[in-house]
Amino acid sequence: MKRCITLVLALALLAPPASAAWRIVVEPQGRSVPARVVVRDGIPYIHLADVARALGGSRHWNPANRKAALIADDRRFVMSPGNSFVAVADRIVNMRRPALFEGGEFWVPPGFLDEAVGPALHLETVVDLEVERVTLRDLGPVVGDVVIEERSGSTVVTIGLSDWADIHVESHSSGAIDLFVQRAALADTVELVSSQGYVARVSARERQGGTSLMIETARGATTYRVERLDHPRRLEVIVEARAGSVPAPALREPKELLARPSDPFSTSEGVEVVMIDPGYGGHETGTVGRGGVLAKDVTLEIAQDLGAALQRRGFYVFMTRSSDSYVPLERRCELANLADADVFIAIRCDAWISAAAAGFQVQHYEAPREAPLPVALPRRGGLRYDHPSVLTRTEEALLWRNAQEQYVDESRVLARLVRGELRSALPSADRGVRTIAHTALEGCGMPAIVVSLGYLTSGGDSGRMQDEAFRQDAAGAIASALTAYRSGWKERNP
Amino acid sequence: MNLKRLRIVLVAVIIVAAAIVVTVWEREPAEELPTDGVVEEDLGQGVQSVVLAFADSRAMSIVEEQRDIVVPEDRPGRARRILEELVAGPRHGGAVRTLPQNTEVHSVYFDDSGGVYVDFSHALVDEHWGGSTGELYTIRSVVRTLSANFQDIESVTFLVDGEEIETIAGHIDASVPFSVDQYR
Repeated sequence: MKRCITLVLALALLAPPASAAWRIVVEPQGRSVPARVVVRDGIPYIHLADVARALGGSRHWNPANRKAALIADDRRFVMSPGNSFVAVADRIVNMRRPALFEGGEFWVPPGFLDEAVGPALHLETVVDLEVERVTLRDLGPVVGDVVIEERSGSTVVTIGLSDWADIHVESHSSGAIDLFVQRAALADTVELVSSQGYVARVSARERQGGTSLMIETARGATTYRVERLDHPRRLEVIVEARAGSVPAPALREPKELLARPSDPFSTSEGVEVVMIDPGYGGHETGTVGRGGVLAKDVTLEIAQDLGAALQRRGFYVFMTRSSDSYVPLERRCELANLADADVFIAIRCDAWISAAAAGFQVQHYEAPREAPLPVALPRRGGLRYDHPSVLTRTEEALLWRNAQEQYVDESRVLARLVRGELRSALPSADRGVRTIAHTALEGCGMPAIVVSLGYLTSGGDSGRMQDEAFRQDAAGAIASALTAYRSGWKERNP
Repeated sequence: MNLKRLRIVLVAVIIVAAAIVVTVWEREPAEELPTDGVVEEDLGQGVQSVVLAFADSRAMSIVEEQRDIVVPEDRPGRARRILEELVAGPRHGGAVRTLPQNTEVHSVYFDDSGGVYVDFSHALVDEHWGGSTGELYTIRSVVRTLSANFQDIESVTFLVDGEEIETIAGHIDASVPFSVDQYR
């Protein structure tokens, strides 16, 4: 029911009414600048160029790394789509809503004006929503709920549609199915991360000209077909194995996962949601250990065992990957932020040039110490909207790094708990808690740690990590530590 | 009439001369960075005792080794020679190498504010054994070696074939300078 209401609200607000007049008022002069606005979930997002105009500055976009900047006088604001943090000089500001990149343009939420720019600007509108009633027909089709379920040996992904649309389906060699619904908007912009049967993950994104749904299949899946059904109007993607294949085990209840609030900024009470990040994947194999064992396979197996152990203790579990697929490092943090995870646990294997190094270790983040940012950006000739070199690498990195800096104390608490439990449970050497400027952690807006259960370059560690009983013990120990962390968190945040 | 023509010619000559002067002025070469092609004899090379920072075989700590080597007098040349010695690996038992064996040190640059830029060959990344500990000790050994032999440096930036890099082995962000305070 709640989802239906959300859908209706989203339908009503997807397109701003034609007569909506938004403007940015500049104080103390009181002059106003017309502003282009898109409304998403009832929140007006403002075109970055219009904010720049109000401030008398310029805006820049780097398509290579999807970072945007607004530069006005000596003030610089750096941000990226899907991220609610803005780097303002040497500090970080939370806009409370993520910035949007849609239709080739960059949009910021009102929190950008309130929190980042300060009281000099505010947004005004004279829109009359009563007069401008938006109908379904005006909007075109809308992609609604996505549900994954097991059905007589197949895994079925059901995609709700408000109206029929032209669909383009393409399958990739990696096993992913790309389903493009033309002209369709997305009712719910969150990425869905799930794993059920033959489906490893479903993600949905609005793109130019429609909505794209990416269905990543799990090990064992060999065929798929797409069916259109009515009452209610929907698409069904049926993924299955040919006779003789072994079905992939179901890791979690999809309905529970998908019923999570999709708003990444909803206030979560306590520690409920865990994002597990198995290292490496796809072409990135990680260390090749003794006997040809690959770090990407070991980390995935440990992560799956940990996921199951955490579910048994009542946590909601998400994984950045649940198959042998490549996920960029920054994307892993982004997924955790989007899923509103309360804790991020990266699973890695360590490596060393000598077989003498062995043991488990837990790491949390330590920000790089470095020189402050330059006062002004270098003014090169030909600065323009899509100029790739407007931002320094330091500035680009700043957004991500500062996200984790706020959680270092909690991350340390978690790291110590996990280390304590692992020390009791495992026969391996204890290498303790270490700090590191780890790329997998720096963008996480929640307590985050890296757990390495051993060295693939050590014969002992490598053998143990491939042993089911060892992995189960380790998973149980980490899950116990998280249970203790959950209790402790409630005491620290009564 | 002739006088007017003469004036025009004179003005034209002055403009052309000014343009030539400006062009030549602009083309005057900036101060060149030290290159590797310097003849060592001219630099008055000598034997110097240098400190090299390796790691212990269990990856628990840095192990320093003192070694007498022939070094050029200029700072970039000396730094490059010391790092080549670091690549060569430890001579004593108990310590292990921290850089892949085939890594070449193309060049080293010092800026005016304590920043050092080390340009390695691609083997640094391609032949690295991986692991966050492996990566950490590669960074620490280079930073510690340079800071032990050059007291006034504050940060070290890793380059590969002249380009900035994201990371050495996928764990630590190498696109920003490594501070000596943090990684020594």
